[in-house]
Amino acid sequence: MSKKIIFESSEGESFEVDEAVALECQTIKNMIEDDCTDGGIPLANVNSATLTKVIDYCKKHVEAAAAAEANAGDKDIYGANKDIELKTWDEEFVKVDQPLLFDLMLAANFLIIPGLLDLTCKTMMRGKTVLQIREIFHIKKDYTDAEEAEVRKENAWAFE
Amino acid sequence: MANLPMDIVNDVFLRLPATTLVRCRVLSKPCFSLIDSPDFVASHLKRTLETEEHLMILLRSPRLLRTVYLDAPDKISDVEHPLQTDGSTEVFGSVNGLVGLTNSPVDLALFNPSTRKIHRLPIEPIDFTEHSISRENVFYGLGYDSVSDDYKVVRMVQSKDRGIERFGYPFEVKVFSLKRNRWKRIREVQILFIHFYYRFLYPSGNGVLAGNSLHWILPRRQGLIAGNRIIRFDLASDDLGVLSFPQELYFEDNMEMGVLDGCLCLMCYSMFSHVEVWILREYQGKWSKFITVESYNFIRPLIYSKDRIKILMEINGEKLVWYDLASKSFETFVIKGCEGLQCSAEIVVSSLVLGCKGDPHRAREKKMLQKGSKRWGYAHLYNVLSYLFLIP
Repeated sequence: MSKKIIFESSEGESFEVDEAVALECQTIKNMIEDDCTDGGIPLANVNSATLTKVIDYCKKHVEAAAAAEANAGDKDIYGANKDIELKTWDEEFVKVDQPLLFDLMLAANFLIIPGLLDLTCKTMMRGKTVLQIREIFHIKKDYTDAEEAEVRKENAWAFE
Repeated sequence: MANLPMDIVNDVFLRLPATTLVRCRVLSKPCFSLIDSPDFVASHLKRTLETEEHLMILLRSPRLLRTVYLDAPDKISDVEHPLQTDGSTEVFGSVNGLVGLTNSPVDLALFNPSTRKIHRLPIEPIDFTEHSISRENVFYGLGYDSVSDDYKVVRMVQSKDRGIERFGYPFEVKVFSLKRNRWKRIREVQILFIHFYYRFLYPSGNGVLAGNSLHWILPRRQGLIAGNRIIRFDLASDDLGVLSFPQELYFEDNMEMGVLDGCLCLMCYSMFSHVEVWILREYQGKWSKFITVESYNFIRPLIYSKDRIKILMEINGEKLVWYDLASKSFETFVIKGCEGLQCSAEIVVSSLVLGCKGDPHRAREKKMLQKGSKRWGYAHLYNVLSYLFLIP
């Protein structure tokens, strides 16, 4: 029986996961190494819905890594397919609404899960206009209209 | 909700291709400052090189520079040729997102296809008269010198006329530094045998970058140079020297040089049968035989696939294929809309090097330069100089 780690979401809900899954998060890995995970890890800025997704992601990637290792001998035959399968899974995984995607990104940033951070950043930015990005990232426009027009003009081709 | 902390914005932006970041400057003033800051440009480049993300293939066709993302070959972006559109512009190198462009030995530029920022090199005259120079005896190279964190362009010209030299042909080497925005003459060209010869191996006349140096093959020539050699220009010290050549290939006549994974490669073409690829795994180390490809074409390896089981290769400077290392089979790399388009390819990373500031003078510049498009040398120099004086 592998060691379990307990996460506590911002709502106070407890999530028990295998240590291997928790190790996907660099932040948690450091805590485990420093031996300060007894009694659960409170994640005050990650809510339950987001945490559920984060754990799903880590679980899947731990399983995929284990499967890849088991098949290491047949890598050139199966390795590529597994990669494609995981990629497809990732694509499905981020088919969520914008606020949850944003929370996932913040969680990935806080917990340091490089793969998830890459995935969420890219998904969020894909095909977005400036206005949409401002909205998603809560970026306040501090340009005057004239100033903004000037910046656009510098690289007009990028906005065609 | 409050503004997103800038460190998270920074983390997100580092993951984006340069072309998207050009747009993100419009988001807000802090975003603008972040994207334009030299620190961010450097971290973005570092990450892009490490992760090999957003890699692009640059296809050069007469009128357009076309970039295609390696992992999304349907994402094509066409850039109007920034120097000229009469089809004479050549791409002579690619490093850290920049490509070197030349119309003539005195009309050169550094160009970033991701940000479309161009930096025209100051005009540097050539010692020799116009009629003693032809395209075949001018050699270029573009490199990044990690020691001084500088981009450099090397131009080597050899006169076709002996002039007053007692033996051989006069040779001129000049190097441009982006940091100083100046050319410098390399005074001591101590490789004597260069003087006997007025041709480096062509068409590989462009310097190949590896180990902080640029390289050209100096092929053997009966009675003059016993065996093939590699000329090396050290970007840190600005010295010309010689790099070891595999003994087995001393007397081969049909060769080309390339770079794969940062290692120099030599392709040795046996017509009508196969291509032997040699690799220098450790710079200054020993050459070893890498692969033999059953092909009667001129192949040039460009880059490994992410899983490293395939290599992207250019065939005859006109077609791209994936070469499977295990099955030794070829698979055409399809770029939608580019089927049958003959053009040579370069791998380009997506970077912000040269910055994002637009160049409002470009349109005017282009107009001025079109006058001198067919000729170069002093007539062209005159055109460009007159342009320089027109615009403060």
